[in-house]
Amino acid sequence: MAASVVFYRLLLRMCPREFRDNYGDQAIETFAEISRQRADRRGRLAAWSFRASAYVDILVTALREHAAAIGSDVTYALRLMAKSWVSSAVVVVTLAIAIGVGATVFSAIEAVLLTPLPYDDPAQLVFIFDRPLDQPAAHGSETSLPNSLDWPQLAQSFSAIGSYANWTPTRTGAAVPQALPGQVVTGDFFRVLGVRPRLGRTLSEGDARPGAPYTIVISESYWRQAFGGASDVIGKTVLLNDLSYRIVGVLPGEFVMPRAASLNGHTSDVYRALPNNASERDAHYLITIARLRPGFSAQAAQGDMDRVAGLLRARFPVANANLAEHVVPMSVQLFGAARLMLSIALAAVVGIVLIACLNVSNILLGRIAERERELAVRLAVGASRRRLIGQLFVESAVLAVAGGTLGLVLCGLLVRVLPALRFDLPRIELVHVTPVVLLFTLGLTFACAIGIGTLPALTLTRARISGALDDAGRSGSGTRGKFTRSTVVVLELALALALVTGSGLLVRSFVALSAIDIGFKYDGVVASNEIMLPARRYPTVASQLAFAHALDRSLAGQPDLQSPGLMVSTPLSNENYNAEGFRIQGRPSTAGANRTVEYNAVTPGALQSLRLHLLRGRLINAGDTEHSSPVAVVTKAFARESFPSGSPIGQRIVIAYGANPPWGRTIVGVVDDFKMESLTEAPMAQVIVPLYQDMMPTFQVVGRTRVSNERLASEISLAVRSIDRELPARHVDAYAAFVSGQRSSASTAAILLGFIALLGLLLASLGTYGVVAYSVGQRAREFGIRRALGANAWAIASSVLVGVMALCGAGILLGLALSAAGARAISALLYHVSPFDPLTFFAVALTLSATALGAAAAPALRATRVDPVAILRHD
Amino acid sequence: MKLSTAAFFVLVALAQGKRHGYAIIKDVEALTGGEVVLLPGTLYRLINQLFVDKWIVEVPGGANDDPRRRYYRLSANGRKALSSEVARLEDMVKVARKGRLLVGGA
Repeated sequence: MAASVVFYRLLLRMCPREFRDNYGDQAIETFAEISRQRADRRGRLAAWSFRASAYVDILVTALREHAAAIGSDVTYALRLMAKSWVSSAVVVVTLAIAIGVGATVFSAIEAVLLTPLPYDDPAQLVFIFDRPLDQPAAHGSETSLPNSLDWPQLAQSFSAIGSYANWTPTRTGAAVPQALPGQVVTGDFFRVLGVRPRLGRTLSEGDARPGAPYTIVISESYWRQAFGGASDVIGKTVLLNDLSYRIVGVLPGEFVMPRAASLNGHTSDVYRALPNNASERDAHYLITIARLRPGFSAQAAQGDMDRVAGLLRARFPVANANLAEHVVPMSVQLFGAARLMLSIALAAVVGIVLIACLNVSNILLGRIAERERELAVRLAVGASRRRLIGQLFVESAVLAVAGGTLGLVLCGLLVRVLPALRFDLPRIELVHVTPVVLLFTLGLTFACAIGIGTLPALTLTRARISGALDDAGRSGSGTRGKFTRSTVVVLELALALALVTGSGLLVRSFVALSAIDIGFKYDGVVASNEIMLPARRYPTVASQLAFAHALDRSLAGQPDLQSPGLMVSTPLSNENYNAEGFRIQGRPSTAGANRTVEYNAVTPGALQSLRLHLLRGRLINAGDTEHSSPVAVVTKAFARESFPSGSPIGQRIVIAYGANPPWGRTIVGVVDDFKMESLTEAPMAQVIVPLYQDMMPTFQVVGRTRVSNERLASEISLAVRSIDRELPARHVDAYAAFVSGQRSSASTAAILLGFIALLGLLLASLGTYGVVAYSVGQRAREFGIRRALGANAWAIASSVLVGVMALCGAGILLGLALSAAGARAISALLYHVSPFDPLTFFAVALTLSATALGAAAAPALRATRVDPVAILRHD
Repeated sequence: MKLSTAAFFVLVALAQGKRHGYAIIKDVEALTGGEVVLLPGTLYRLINQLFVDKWIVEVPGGANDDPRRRYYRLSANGRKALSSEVARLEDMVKVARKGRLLVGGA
């Protein structure tokens, strides 16, 4: 045979089998004949030009034939869908739920985790935190300026290191003084992030030199708000804390500070440079960020910083005693918790998709059983098995595409609701349906099509289909089909159990977290933001004292505030002060070294409004002033650590904070422990002194109220500004909202997984219902005969329910194994709950059994109502 | 139902009597003066469609025919479809002529 014909035969193989069988030989023959004829009569060129177009033609024919076959399959599938529209609707809705929830979780992952940080080459950015050398697992904390300025000289892994701290200056000079959210930053801060200014320049080393002129850069939003977006803003001056600052630049609108919660769009308005000669080496108040040199990993940088920290410990044995550094990639620090939570949600979604596919597979298996005769006939008249399987997959694809489309609609709705649910996920408001989400949905839909089509297709490959012709079709699917369907239900129940167990553990954890006694009665308690007395106008302790007394008196006269007071460090505010030079009189001074003692100063009202639980002695009262003898109230943890045997009342301690020299004080009271930093912290040793006996220029107003925050804020602002017109307005926050915010991470996990688990349970019960209902339908004849022979309704029903319990038992066993494996993964999210909490496991198994039995109840009832006469007559 | 050009010519070729595939190609080529040359893939796809639509039927070859070939002829349905298509085309030509006369006369 000529090569040109062989090639044609080869191309013909691209056509569908049916076409080849019917017309292949003739097409080849015709091709050969024309080819020969052209060559003979018109020459080789004409022959080759014919062959070339015939090659293209046969390929086009192949494509069109395939398209026609798929088109007719799709039409057929749509007709089938319409025929059994109830089960089709169940299938489509089931898939829509799975795909919709899957796409939603993925869109959250895209927004929260896959959106790059808004900085140059964000993968190279890290945080550097202090940590105690002897506590490798401790949370990182703030760094000190002298240390962070030494690091660039000593470390090799970083191209730039920068630090920042909160700064809330008061803009004066305008009609109403205004507190501006701001930052002090070191000279290299903007270089680390790679910020390009919108106007002018950013801050650099020159601005941080001691004695450099006062300069600031401002945010784009503040530029628009305060300067109307004027382009000549550069060079203008503003008065901040009574000092004149020159504006040198405007930051781009998209700039945000690298801080987990703040990435949700909170910006600072003003930034000034931190003079690089400042402060003591043991004053830790800076967040430090750094850019890795190309080729350096965070691990390499950690090794580098271990070495550098060792050098500095040797050089500054007192200030840097027990000080080590901790390098954390920026994305891990900011999104680590969210990543864990979303990974768990993703795993749960995989569970849901599997349950949905198994469910749908079972429904399709049932349908195939009904069509067994039709399929057998088609096989008998010569349709190839492959063709029928192809058709089944087209049916699955049609169902999956319908489900995927509806799922996308569901995702579009959920994505809109998601940010409003106030989940504790950074950047969640960025969530929307992007092209990547569409692509993911398409992939998931495709996976579902394969997932739901495989089991039905497998049954077709079995020989028994051809045997269906002999049979009347009544006993249709044999024990094997029933076994397959039962196995599917067991798998579904097991997956659902694992999901419910996971969410059950998270709910238990949330309950445990909610039950934490935070040590004070926060309902109705409010705290203002900080009042800072500028050093220029309040240079002396006496002037600060005068202000504090005046404010305390003025607040006491406010009818909306009960027991108001001033407090230097309010609970859960993240602004805590470590006591310095602490020791117990009558003991060697080393006894108290290396002990962390939290230091606080208050006026009497503050402790009353928090309603701390007094264990011994007395609270700080109005008699404790700068003129009375120094006293202190301590917490239970302090008493236990410092005076394990015997009462601390009447004991003397020496303690101080900041500029004040250590004073000797008498302990007059012990209060129960209360939380200062987070809900889950261990009790902290705290010493609380009267503010008037250790005056500090920074404090907050604390009190109880029944009026709105806004009203109270204006009343407090009025009180403050009646004493000093130059001080800015205050706002207040309610503790109740604050505490629930602290619990929101736990509730987010519980709600997220709980919702998905509930869907899983629902789908699994639907699946159980389907299988039981089907098997009751199959056994109608058996039930009818048994009824005719005198079996009572209960015997019939229990024979159905026993079957369900067997399925359920198998599902529970498999599910428990699955849960045990999965529980490890969520253990990091659990608080005071073991990942193998027996109570949760038991409750979940019980729930699952109840659900399965509930799903089986209706079919079981139907089984008892089978009319024996009708059944026997049908025979 | 509107026929494709190729299908139309295949029906015309088969209107003359039973033909095998290659003969159809040759007939169509001759009928159109070499304008329409059907390629084998297209031809058998058309034959399959016309067969499924029951416009043509397969007939056994005669004693003088090549036994390896398969022969087709028009069915009654096919003949009806072809004449209605011819009528449709005639109407269209009439309309076009009328239109051109009117335009030309203006």
